[in-house]
Amino acid sequence: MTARPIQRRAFLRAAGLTLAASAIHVHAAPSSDARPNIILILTDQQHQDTIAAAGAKGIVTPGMDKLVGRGVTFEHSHASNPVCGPCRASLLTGRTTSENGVWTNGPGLRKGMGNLGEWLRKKSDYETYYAGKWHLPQYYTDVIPGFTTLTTGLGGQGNLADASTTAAVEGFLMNRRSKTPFFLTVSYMQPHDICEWLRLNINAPDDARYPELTKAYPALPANHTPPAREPKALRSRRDKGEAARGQWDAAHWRYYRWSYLRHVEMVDAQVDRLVNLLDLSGQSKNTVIVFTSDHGEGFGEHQLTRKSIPYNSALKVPLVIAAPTQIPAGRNATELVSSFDFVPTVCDYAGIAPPKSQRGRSLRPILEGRKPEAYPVLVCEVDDDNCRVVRTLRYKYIAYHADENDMLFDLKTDPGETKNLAADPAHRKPLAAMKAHLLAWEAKLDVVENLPHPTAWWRGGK
Amino acid sequence: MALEWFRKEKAMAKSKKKKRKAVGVPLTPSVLLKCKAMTAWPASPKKFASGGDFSLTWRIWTCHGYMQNANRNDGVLTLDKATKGDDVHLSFRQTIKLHGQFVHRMVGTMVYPKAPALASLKSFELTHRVGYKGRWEKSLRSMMRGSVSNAKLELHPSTSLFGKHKPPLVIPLTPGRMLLNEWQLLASLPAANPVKPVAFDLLENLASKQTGHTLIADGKLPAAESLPALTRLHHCGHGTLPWDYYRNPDGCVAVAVTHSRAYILDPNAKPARGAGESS
Repeated sequence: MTARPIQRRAFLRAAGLTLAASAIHVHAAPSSDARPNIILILTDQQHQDTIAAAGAKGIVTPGMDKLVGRGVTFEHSHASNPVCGPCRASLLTGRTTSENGVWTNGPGLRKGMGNLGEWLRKKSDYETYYAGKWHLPQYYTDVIPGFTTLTTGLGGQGNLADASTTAAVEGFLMNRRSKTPFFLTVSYMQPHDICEWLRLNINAPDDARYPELTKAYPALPANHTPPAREPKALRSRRDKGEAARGQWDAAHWRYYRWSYLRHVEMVDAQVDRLVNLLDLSGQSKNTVIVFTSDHGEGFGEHQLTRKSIPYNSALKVPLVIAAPTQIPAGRNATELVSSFDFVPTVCDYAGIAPPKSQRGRSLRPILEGRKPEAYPVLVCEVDDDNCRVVRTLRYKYIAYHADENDMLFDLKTDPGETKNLAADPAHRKPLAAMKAHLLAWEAKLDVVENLPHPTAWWRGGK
Repeated sequence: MALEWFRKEKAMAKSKKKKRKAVGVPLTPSVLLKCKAMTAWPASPKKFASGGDFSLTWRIWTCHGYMQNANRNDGVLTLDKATKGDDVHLSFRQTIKLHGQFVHRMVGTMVYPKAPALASLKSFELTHRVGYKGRWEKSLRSMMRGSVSNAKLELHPSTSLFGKHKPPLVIPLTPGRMLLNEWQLLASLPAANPVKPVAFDLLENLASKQTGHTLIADGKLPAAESLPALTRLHHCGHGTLPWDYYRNPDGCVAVAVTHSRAYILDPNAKPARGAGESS
């Protein structure tokens, strides 16, 4: 470890040289600051309903439960795009994936856009660190723009490597003497290993193998059956490729759900350890902890697994924000929120203005019991720019490019998205309103060139 | 540009999907041989005695879910069992090669009674080291001491800069329930022959308490092609997917599997490169 004195850092900043990324070099010189540290704990592929203290059944999550008890739990938190790279891109830019260029896994961030780490280094004196999965575009990299890398991870092996991520953060928290506030992202791989599980459990389980487990299997979800008039792109996810689960019987679905919950418990163990370490190091008193995931998991709802689907199973994510000294603890918030809101929230706490053209707003007023900026509708992008989701508190509208089968759900009466009302004459008015919302939202975006579907109707095409 | 990239990627992905074959079934000894995780079933060391002291090394092999693609050796675990008086002192050293030039090593010793074969942890010391580009990073090093008594686990962090004077972290334990560690199980199972299911809590990585575990002996597996007659045990509980332990006829745990990860007995396995041995 090479410790750099703060004088040197200040000199480098004055010289405009601190934007370069590095691996490890942790600052060690003391100073004092009233602004909080900010830690983003990011899990990968976590269904929203998997925190015991927030009501999940059949799972033990003491780590996440602690955060729920200390913070505010957001009931309507959405991934900007329910895929790893795209959502992470929105979390770190505050922009839609069609704007920041990461509309699917693979492309890097739009040239010149920058990210939250770079902005914090440029506009504030926050120290910025990153541990674990990156995925913009590489899964893991030693050198991340705007961040000092504490460690990386292992693709598809969160069950082995997430503990290494925590170990690096443990060393960081235990050895750090600097009082300069820091922004740290702790990015875990789990419960994403369910993807490996799915490839290792395509065939029906042998119940005789672990007979003691069968009585612990969770029930099938109430919305296991898909709704009517699904778009073709969505139907096909069920019928082809590795994701094809059409042949599974109820026991197989239930075994998958049991296994998925164990994956979530694995990452909870890391969260628990991390929260304990923060407490032990005395730093939780002045640290805002944001706990969320990049997207959810099909979890057998609508007979689907994994992600890149517009249903709430994959689109909604857990979001708990805990800052004990500033937030009335242990309550729920019912506002619509999205990954877009992360950048403005962090900037708010760090005392800097967010970059222009942010699509979200700071959640700090909600956390502090004040009225937030209005957020009439929320739009999410899904499936390689092929789909849009429009949310109001009551309705949810799903549209695919070049597919007449759109979907409308009244979440007030049908939170499980089981009755597609798009063809119901009684719902023409809300349907039209949702389409109008989408057109208005898209009109203000500054999208990258050459998206896969430039003629989608929501961009004015036919 | 992006669209062109996207089309190429889609075409490549389609072609890759045609070539790769999902494993489709959980990892078992025969599947591990098929996946080429090992070329032959691992023999126990000469003079191995199930109740005696020993030094064993396992290669940690992980599977991405396909027969060939992206499966690899990610780490090495070595256990040295030494009986001292009424206790076992089990030294461990696990090195994981992370992506890029990062390495994570856990090294330390745990202490538990030598009898019965499965006995609750008494104490441990654990050091984490993170290596980058062949050097151990002092600023990321941490040490933890743990002790179990009166249905509670006390964790004392200890680093050169922090922790010596802080109160310990106290984790309540289930009264009357054994607290075991996954490496301890690898070392203890050779001598364990549970007739009935054994209930315990798991202190995974000597850091995370996982509750409600049950160890069950599945009985003998008949010898099969390339495989000797093995005995199998498994345990399930919160916080992990089931663990399967495959013991050679002399009791030595030759292979242990949990989900996509397999511990394969391999005396020639070397810790991953990327970090030097200094400091």
